[in-house]
Amino acid sequence: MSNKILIVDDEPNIVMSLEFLMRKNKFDVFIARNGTEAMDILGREIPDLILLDIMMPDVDGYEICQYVRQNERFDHAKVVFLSAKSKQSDIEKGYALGADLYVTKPFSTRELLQNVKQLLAD
Amino acid sequence: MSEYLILFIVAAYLIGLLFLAYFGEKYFSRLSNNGLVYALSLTVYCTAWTFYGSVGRASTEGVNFLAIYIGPLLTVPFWWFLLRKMVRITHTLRISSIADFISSRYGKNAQLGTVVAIASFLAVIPYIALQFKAINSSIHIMSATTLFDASLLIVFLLTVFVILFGARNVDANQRKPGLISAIVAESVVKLVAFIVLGAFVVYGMFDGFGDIFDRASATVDVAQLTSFASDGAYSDWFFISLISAIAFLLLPRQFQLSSIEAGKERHILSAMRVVPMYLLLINVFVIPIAMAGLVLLPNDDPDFFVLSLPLFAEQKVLAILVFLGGLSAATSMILVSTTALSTMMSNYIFIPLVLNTQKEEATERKDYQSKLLLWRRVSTIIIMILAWAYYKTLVYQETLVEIGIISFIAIAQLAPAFFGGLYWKKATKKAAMAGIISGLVIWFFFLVWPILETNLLQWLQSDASGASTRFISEITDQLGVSRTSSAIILSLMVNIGCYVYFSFTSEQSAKELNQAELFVDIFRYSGTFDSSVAWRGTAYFPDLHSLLSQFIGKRRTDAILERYARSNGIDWAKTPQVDSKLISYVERILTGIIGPSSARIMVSKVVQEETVDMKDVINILHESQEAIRLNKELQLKSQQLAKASDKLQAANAKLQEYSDLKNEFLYTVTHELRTPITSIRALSELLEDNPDLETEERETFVSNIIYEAERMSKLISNVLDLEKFESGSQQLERDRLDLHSLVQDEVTALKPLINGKNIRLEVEINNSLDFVFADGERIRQVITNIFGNAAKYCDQENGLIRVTAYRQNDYIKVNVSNNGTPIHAEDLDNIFDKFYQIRNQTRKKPTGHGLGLAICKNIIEMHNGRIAVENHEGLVRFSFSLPVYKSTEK
Repeated sequence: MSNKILIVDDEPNIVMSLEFLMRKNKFDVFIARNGTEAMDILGREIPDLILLDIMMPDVDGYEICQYVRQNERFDHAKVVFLSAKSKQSDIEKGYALGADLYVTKPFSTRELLQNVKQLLAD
Repeated sequence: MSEYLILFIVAAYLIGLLFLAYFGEKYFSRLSNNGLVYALSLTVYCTAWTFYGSVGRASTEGVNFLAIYIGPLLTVPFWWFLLRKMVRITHTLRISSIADFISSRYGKNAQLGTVVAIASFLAVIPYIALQFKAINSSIHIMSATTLFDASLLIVFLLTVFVILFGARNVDANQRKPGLISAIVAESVVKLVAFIVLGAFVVYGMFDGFGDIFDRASATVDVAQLTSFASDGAYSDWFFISLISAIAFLLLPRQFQLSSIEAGKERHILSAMRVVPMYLLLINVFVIPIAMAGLVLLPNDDPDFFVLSLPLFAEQKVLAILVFLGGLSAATSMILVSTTALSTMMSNYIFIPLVLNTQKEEATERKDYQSKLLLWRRVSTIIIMILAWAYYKTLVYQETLVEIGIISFIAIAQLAPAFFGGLYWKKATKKAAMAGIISGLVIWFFFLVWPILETNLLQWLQSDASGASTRFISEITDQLGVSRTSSAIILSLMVNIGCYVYFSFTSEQSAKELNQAELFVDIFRYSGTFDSSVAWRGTAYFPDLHSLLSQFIGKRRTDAILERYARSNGIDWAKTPQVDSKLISYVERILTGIIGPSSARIMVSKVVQEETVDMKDVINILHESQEAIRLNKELQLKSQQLAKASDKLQAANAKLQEYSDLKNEFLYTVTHELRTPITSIRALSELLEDNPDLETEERETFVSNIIYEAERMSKLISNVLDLEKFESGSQQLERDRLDLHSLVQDEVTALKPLINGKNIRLEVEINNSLDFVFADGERIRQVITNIFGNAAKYCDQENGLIRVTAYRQNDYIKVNVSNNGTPIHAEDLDNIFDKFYQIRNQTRKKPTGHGLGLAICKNIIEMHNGRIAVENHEGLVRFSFSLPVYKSTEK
């Protein structure tokens, strides 16, 4: 069974490239273009890994991460932040909320893919 | 008695005194430093005038004679404050005469010192002459012959005495134990003689006080003896007490003994007990003796009852004892007065003359040491000769008492300047000078000139009474008091009047201010006097050394300077330049030798003095004196500092805020750049990693890369634009601008954007709209931005954009409304801030970066216009205004 990956980002071109990358590598991909959509999907699906942007107009990535970590259903879900926020304090906050990885934009798709595979193998 | 025997007794007694002084000088110097000695020395106040004259006066005027004792007695309670202050000043400043004292108080002024010295000569030389007269008269009574004049012998012996023991040391400020021991011995002799005589008269010649009283009342008017005599006596009593009180403190001999020769300040306490006792004892028998004389020897001179009574009783030994008592009273006064006057004469007559004539070569090395003593000794001889000459010519006409009073009144003229100077800082040199001189003029006119005039008329053998005598009588009648009282009232009133008036109208120099401060607050300064502020300047060690050795010899100079160097840790070889502290120290040593004003002149010749102005002195005084005030100032200063530091902190916080904003801006810019780069990088990598992509997918990826690249360059140019506006480097090219056609152009440009969407565009602009004064390119930028926003945020299903423009006062207002979601109140406030993006836009991600409106705001405000956003009649309305073009505009 292929792993489910939820991509949450409000930048269409970033979503497009991540979707292409993950599908190409046989992941089951779900797309959310903002926080509200992400919460909708989380209501019905239990992804194995979430690629999560932080700065979104409605519900931000931190809130989603917090929701995921407080909910037993997502015990096995990995959370990877993908954010332009590069301050040390932002990164620390991400890990404090229970993220497994914090990747700053711009990132390399090759490295990201390796990291994702690694996390899912653990 | 044989006149030769008397002469022998006089000579033997005086030579005995010389030996006593010699031993005193050698062995007594430690013993003399005690309270009883100090107290007894002060009784030099009781001269031959009182020894013989009291009985004389009591015989004619009753208890009036007591006035000259009552005055001093009344001052006794104040001695601890007054006398101690005088002693402290005298010792601290090394003052050696009353002329020094007054001159020093008023800025070390030499002329003032000279005036005081002259006043002292005028007052005291006749007084010395009076003593000669008393001695000679007593010799005549003892020897029962008037042919013999022993005064020259006495002048000779006393001159030798003063030269040996009064003018012994160059340092006139040093104590003179030889002189003091002689004075104390004489004080004892005169008291013992008078009491023994009194006891003999009362109990030997009569049968006790009651007997004298009874027998006297039978022959003379006793009531007259025990009460005030003639008219005006009450006022005389008062005024004579007053001037006696002054005289006790200010007569040169009194000042010499009470202040200069004082050993320790606590001796004043002994004096306060012993002196009243002494004055009481020496007066106990005055009235009984006077009564006895009037009863037994009604035809004799009352001034000499004290001698004629024992002679009458054929008590030769007692008569000789009394004679020696009188001699003691007279000679002790002469010795101390001459010593005091000779110091003044050499310091204020000789030295100024020498300093003035030798100004040019004064810094050359000279031996003043031996000259100084010579001058003081010559002064002694001159004073003796003057007194003797005065005695020979004028003294015959006056009774003993009268000359004494005249002397007292002259000295009283120093009182305002002296006491005023001790307690009133504002008193000036000019005031002191004016007071003393005016008082002396009146004194001379009232008390001296009539005597001279009478003598002159007698010499001319004219019977006419003098014009001035008549004039004075008229004034005296007007005042209703005696001539003496009139003289006292008028001279002191004019003196004090001038003193006060000139103190208020004349200014003090810096030096005067300094000295006034020092005198009035001596108790505060004397402890720290070494940090004197008197000199500001520099001098070189060799100069000071040679100056000092001219006066005290090389050996003592070396010793003094070495001691100074040791206690201050200075090595002269290394630091030849000396500080103001040493200069002041040297000046004080010289002050003790040549007086303050001359010392100052001498020192000023080797010191490169900095100009000291009033402000400096005040500053320095305040520094050393008003520590509290300074403290307050410090507090104030620290408060000011705290305020300044608060301001700095505020400024710093502001800077920090700007810096934070700048950092925030940079961070936001880089953050905004990261997003398109992320897309570009990701898409490029996918293109590279997937060469087998379908053409359609490949084209989508490439066109998205181009789109993100454009987004980046737009962001960069916006950031640069904004930076230009905010730093003020962006210049406007303003001109007459047709807003109507500009809006029309932009509407045309907008149309392709909204093409295919259901958006209604309403434009209501009159083509007669006035021109505005603006930069066309910039305004186009604003309109494009606002139109773009309107197209983006209006209702996407059934959109409406409405553009209106009209004139409002001197502005053209442009409104661009759309039917999008109303904007939240919090967003209305911040929408023009850079990088501000409205939250909770549920519909879609905004495509801008939050810089467009910030740039618009900058542009409009540079045109002095206003830009605003509001929810208006169900529409979101952006509006801006621009000033109307005026023909004068350029």
